[in-house]
Amino acid sequence: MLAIGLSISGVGYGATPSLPDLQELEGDPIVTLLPPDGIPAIDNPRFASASKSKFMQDSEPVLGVVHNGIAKAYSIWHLDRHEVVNDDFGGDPVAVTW
Amino acid sequence: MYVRPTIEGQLITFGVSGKLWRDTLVMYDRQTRSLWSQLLGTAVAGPLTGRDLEVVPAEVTSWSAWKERHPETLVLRKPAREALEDTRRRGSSYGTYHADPDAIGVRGTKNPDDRLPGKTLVYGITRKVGFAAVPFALLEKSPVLNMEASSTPLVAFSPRGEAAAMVYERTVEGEELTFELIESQDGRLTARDRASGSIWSWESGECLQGAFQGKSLRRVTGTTVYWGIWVQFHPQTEIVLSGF
Repeated sequence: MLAIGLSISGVGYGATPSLPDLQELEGDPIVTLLPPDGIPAIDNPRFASASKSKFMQDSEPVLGVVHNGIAKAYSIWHLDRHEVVNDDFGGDPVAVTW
Repeated sequence: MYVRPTIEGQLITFGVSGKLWRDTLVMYDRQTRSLWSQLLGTAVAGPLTGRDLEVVPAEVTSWSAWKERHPETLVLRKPAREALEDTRRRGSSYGTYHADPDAIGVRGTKNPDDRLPGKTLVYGITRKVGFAAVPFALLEKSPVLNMEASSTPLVAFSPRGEAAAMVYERTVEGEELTFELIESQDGRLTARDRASGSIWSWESGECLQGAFQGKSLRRVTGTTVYWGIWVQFHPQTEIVLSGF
């Protein structure tokens, strides 16, 4: 949700795609801080069950969703590093964005 | 969260553009190289300009609360190194940003509208019913909040006092309902409408028992966001200041 990832860099500069050169939108500037994929989206997410989630802390904030009968949680601390997860809920493609 | 559309036979995947608009993420799609505003869910440049993504409702809560309600849940794995970093830091890498009451985004944006302090966390109600901001401080005080926004009767449930809310339209078959939360025999909280006494799940919006059994409240999508960001997108937004 809040993209403020100046501290994250150095990943995925290989095939830099060219993107529309948009400088301004509705009177507000579009600011370029990093190259495309400078913050790496997750394309092949892997999941654990709740019983195998020692890497999570109880107080850790998560984005939770139930979709197509499947419940999933995404650590917000982790989403801060990636901002986008290209995921799939039993055949329904979903983008998790933060 | 959004449904990833298939456009001209290609399933869309998103990446991070490295650009910000109004201090929020601009995504791009790898298939057409269009730019998308994450907050609006709309393409703002490139071949898909003007196209809207369908929202998948999600909520922000704590891991302990989520897994208690959804024991069967899956959770996104993290690489071991990143899990260790999180454990040591016990917080986000943006901890100092979140803690600074004046900072809105990286460019030092000033709060554009002092109806509320810039870092007030609000539930921003989007689309369909117009735009309204419900401060979480109000939701914390009122775990069930019957309210009206953009002349639409709504109800918000936030029984755990966290930055999570489920918001629904509270009109069913033309009848405007008001809700309260009650503890059921097994200790779980459920919603009850005052007129018919029907029992509803506050989590799914379904009527579980009573005159409206089989009906569902229509969920209103929204996003948990700082006021100073929200109001850049929706300067005309209403603020819900009270409910009943």
